[in-house]
Amino acid sequence: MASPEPSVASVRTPAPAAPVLELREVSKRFGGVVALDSVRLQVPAGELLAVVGPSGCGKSTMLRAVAGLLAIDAGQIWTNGREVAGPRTFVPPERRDVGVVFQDLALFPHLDVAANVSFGLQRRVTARGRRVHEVLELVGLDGLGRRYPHELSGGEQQRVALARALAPHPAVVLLDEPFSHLDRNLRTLVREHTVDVLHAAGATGVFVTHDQEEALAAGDRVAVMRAGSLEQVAAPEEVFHNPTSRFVATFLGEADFVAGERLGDHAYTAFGALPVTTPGAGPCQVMLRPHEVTMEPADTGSAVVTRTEFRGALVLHHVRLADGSTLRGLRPHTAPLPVGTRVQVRPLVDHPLAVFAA
Amino acid sequence: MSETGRRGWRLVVVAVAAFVVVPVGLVAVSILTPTVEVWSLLWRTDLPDMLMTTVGLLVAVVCCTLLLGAGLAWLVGRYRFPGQRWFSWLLVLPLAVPAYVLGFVYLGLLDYPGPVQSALRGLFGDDVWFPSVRSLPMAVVVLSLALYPYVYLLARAALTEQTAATYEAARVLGHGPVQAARRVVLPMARPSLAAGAALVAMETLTDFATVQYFNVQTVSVAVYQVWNGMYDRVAASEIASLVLLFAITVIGLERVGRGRARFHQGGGARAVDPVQLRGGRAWAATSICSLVVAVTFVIPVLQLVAWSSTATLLSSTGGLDPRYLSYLVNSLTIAVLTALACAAIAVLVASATRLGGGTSTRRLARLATVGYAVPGPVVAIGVLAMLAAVDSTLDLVGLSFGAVLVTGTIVGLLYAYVVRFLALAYTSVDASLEKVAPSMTDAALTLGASPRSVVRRVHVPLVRSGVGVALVLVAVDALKELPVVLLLRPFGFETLAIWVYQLASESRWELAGLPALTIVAVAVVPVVWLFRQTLQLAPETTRQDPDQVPVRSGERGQS
Repeated sequence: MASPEPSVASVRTPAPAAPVLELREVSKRFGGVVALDSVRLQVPAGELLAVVGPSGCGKSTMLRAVAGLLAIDAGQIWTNGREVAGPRTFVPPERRDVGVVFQDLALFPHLDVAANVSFGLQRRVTARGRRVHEVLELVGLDGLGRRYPHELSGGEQQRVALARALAPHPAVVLLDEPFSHLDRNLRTLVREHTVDVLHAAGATGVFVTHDQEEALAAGDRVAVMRAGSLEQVAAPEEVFHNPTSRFVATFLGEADFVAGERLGDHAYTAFGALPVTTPGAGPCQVMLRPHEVTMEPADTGSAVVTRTEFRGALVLHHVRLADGSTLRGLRPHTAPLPVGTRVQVRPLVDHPLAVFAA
Repeated sequence: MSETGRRGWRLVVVAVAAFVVVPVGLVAVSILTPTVEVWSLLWRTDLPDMLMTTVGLLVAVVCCTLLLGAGLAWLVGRYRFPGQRWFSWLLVLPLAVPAYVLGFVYLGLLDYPGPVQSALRGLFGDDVWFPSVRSLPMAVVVLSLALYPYVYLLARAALTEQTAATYEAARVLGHGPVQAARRVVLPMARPSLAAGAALVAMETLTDFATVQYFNVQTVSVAVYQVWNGMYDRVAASEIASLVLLFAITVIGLERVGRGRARFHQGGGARAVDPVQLRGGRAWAATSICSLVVAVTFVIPVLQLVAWSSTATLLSSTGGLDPRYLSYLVNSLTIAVLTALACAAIAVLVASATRLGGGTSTRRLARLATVGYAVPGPVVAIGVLAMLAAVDSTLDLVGLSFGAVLVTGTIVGLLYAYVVRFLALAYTSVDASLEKVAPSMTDAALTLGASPRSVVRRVHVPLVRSGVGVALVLVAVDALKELPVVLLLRPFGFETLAIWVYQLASESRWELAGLPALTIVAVAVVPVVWLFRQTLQLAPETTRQDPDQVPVRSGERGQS
């Protein structure tokens, strides 16, 4: 909480050496279930980190632990260079300096928008009023301060929750599945707006989602979580194109695997030599995503279209290869192939492909 | 909920639980150090008789209320007849007439000089036979008429909750209506009937005023006599532990009666369609219900109106008895203070269970509500023992007030009332807080509000309706309460309930009319309220398809 308030349009400051949020080997179990398993994570200032994973993987537990709504069993949590949870430390949520946007938003129904937003502000009336105005303007709700939450649309309620969390200048803003209650069309709009607001405010944020598209689109970095541990934390392009595990590969998008033999930086497969990201030797599995698979009808082709799925501009084709395995590839909606068509399949390779030891 | 453990808030719950449990515990342990003289005297005089009477009264009242309550619930719940919808709530009205009021009304009506016997003598001569009015059977009748609504309410709820599917399954499997009722409906209603019977038994154990009108000597009466007549706290406490023993037996029997059954059927399912009664059967059903409402509510209220108008007309001052207003103020004061204290503690405990987290805190909170299941005399004597201990401790440190705390102030009375009525307040406040999403509390905390300020700025405003209900329920119960106030009132402190009891004991029915009528008028408020709630719920339970309910387009706001 810097005392001179940064203006809305302030340029994002370069990240200082120390991360704003750091988790060191954080563990938490509920009875016999390990919810967090030695989680290590650093979030630099101004970053928006997307934590994504299947439901029950521990992502919300991590958020609650950071917020102080949950005590951890082992490890440490640091915010702004201060230990807030550790073996002998427990800073309660009201002194943690975190803002939270809850899944159900949790707007106070008995308070109007302005009172909701000013709930976390100190009691200096003029400064309060100014800050409320400032934050409501930031989220595009100026003029609605006298409304009550039930008088707002879902998208507007979402903005109030964000404004309320940002108002006290928290070190970190945590967002717990913040868009899950919105319908699909509105969700993208609200998500873009939220990301813009967080960046404009220069806030450091962690948001949790089970929607991989959302994570890839909104996160500056994406952390993929599985069964209480982080499988990979990297830029969206990196986790998508260069996943470190088959779980990450399949969770972040459709992925098929082609068997091959790795020799140096190429893998030799039924489609010939394919460049791979990690050199090595021995049997391997090369990841191919549908957009990397092309197919042309050919009577001599060894593959057969078994199923098509209309996706709007593109049509997803499932094809069965000669060895019985399945690949998926995309074709424009203007040139779909009927089920049963014999095709010649070719990977469209303009970059090294992710590879896993078989 | 946050499992972050706030020791301070857990301590609040521990303190409240101790506050409630310690008085009861003091009574319980007093039996471990029996005073030989007390018990030998009791044994030689009337202990065996007293025990037999208590058991007989409990068994008889429980049986009668089960028959009356469950029978009426069955009639109103499963059949359609003229007035059925009205009777379904009119039959709850006797809840507004305390047993000690109903008792003296019938004493006045049926006693030797009363109108009934006078009329009979006028018709058949002076030696006409009439059953003894001041007797155990009469006490059973009056208590059953006053208490059956507890069974009725629970049985009716159980019948409404039962879905048509189970009953129809039994019918399709080859059972006739009666057989289906015996083999499916009644067993499924058993837990509710057991709970209702336990409530009735507790109220019967608590009562030592009504039974005294009828010269019935129970264990609870003995507690009162020993304390009131001899101010022997030790002896009173030891006899009260006998009452506690009865209460524990009742709770044990309730568990047995309930069996291992946990019958829960999802709400919203279709209820069994009532059977339309016609002709003589319909009129019989209407007559039975009318008779019950008349005997338990209409006749007593009319009689009270008659008596109070006679008393006012005949009074020497030509108006209201001056004592009436001052006793009314006393009653209201104690009721309001109790309600405020209970509501405040309930909010505190409910908030603490949320902020303090953990199952142990929840269990402690439940312990804080046991007072409702402890008979009044036990609570009262326990509080006396505790205040006496505080008094003597104060004496030790040189702050001598004499026995001021015990008999000189309303502190003890308030204390006992809070112990007894906290459950009532807690249930409604907790139900209200349950509707406030846990994330609401979390949100306030992460915004930097201290737990205390979360309670003040979020919990209290959001549970206002629950607090309102708690205030009314507790205030009404405290106003009509008699046994505890009889035992614990400061010297010279009179309330409407005490006054009614004293006047009734002296057979001055006319004078007792107005204060009794006042109590009934106040006690009717929550009953009517209950009725309005069931009316609002009724369309929902009978509605078969939610899609058939038209929704105006404007009502579907964005969530």
